[in-house]
Amino acid sequence: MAALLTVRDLSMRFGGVVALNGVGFEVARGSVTALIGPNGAGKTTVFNCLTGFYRPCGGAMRLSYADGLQVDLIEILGGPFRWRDLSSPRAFGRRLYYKMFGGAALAARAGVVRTFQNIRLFKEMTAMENLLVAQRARVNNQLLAGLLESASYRRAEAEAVERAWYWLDFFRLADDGNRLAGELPYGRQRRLEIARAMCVGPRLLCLDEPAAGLNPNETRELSEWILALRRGHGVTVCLIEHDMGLVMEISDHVVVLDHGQVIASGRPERVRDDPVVLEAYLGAPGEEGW
Amino acid sequence: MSFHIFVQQVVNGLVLGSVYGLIAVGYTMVYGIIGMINFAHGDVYMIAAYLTAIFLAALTLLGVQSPPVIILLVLLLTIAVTALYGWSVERIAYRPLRHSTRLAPLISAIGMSLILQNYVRLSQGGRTQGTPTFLDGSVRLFEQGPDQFVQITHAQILIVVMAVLGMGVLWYLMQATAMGRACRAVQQDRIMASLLGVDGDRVISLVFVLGASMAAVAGTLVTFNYGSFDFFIGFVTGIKAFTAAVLGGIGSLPGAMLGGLVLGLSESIFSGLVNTDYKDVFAFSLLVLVLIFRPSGLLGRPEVEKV
Repeated sequence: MAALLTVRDLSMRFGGVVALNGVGFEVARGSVTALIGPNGAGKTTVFNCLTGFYRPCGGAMRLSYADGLQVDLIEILGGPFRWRDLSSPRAFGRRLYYKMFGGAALAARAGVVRTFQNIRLFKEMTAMENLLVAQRARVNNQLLAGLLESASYRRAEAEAVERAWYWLDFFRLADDGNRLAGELPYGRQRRLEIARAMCVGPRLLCLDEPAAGLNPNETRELSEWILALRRGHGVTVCLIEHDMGLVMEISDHVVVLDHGQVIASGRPERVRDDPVVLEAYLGAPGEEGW
Repeated sequence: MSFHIFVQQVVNGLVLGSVYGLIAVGYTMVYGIIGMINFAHGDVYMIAAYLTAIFLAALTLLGVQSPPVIILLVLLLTIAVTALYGWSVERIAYRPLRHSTRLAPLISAIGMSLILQNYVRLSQGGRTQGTPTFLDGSVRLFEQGPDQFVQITHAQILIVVMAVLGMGVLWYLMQATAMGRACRAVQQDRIMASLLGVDGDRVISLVFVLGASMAAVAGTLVTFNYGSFDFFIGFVTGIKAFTAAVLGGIGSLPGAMLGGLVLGLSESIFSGLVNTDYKDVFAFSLLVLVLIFRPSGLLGRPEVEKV
């Protein structure tokens, strides 16, 4: 399968601390790819780089969609100037444009959307409003159109509301549409966050520990939902997860990080039996179990 | 104090309060969205007063006679140009400092305030200037003799009506439209909003434009009412409006209006009951008292730090 996301040589330093050191992996189109590794291995840092939360110090991140669209994530996040930009005014202009106007919002528009380990809903807005905010591309954000309720504004709002209901239904949150997001129970907040990410219209959905704090039943439901998203909505999923049961069950490809480097990658069962991985997790070679 | 004087002071207080409220909105919205005090906001109000005089003169020169047309045109033109000032202030002085320390934009706000004041002083002169008062008709209520009446000028009525209207429109924008929703989202979590594709910078610019527009409404109407201004009026009025925003609970839109009204009314009634010299002392004592008992202001919500 062709790669949707190609990450090469990704590096991230915070002062003297090297968080990522030449990380490279691929996420195949339509796959579920899991990023695993011990605490502090740099998994969340990879997500932060992908979504424009951080500006990586070096490397390349490219998206290539089935319809032929290519996106250089480093560039749209406002990457640094390079010597060869000087040779072509066009490249220079693009670089300058993204320096000025680029950033996380463009990564989202290019189809990379994430959720957070610690839930980041807009707690003082209703569940419905949370989902509507995410549909920036669909709703009409013009001030005057909103004030005068122009026909196109109303049509756009109606479509956005309909789509929001679809996702609320999908994640069994239909009864909570008008409740404040902050008042929902924990498990529902997690679901609402994924629903909100889906409202952006992602092509690559990055889930950061989606099963953290969920009970076994909820985790099982979650894995069904993730598979349904991939099957029914053409979403490629990239997830960070500590629940190895979930990882083994739903992922097609596993990438193992340790100390900011990829130490293994491949099919889940192969990675599970890799001695290098066991050593990273347990600190001693040859021991059994996760 | 006679009944008539009291009612007159209440009327004056409501008018003053509406002006404070209109300006306070700019402080409170900006604070709500980026957590800084825009000290240049009072000077944006001052600019609006000058623009009003300029447009008034220009329209008269062009031979526009009918008062409603003049009011409407001057108001619209002033709002448009003042909004441009508000937008530029944010673009030039605050956006480049978005990711620096919290104090940096505060200092550049003070700098911006000085720049605007001196720019006007240089270009328009330092003297107090005036326009012929406009809309000087008035209504008299409770008339019982030559000195026994309550007088409300048409300009005062217009101020209160426009303040209510402006606040209504703003409230509707924030609560019921897609753009308002995006504003509230950015206010709660700017980074998350940008990860969902909402352009935070655009939303912040919009907030400055809206705040400046409200200040423009206040500047225009006050100029219609009093007819005199200088380059320094923005300072005192700005401080008062900022006080109103804090009194009402900074960050809260209805709080700004309420704070403005409370401040205006108490100032005005105090000057009627006691004397005018100490009205500012009274107003600020009131602020101190309110903040002792309600540290987050009248309508502000305390920030709960969750553990």
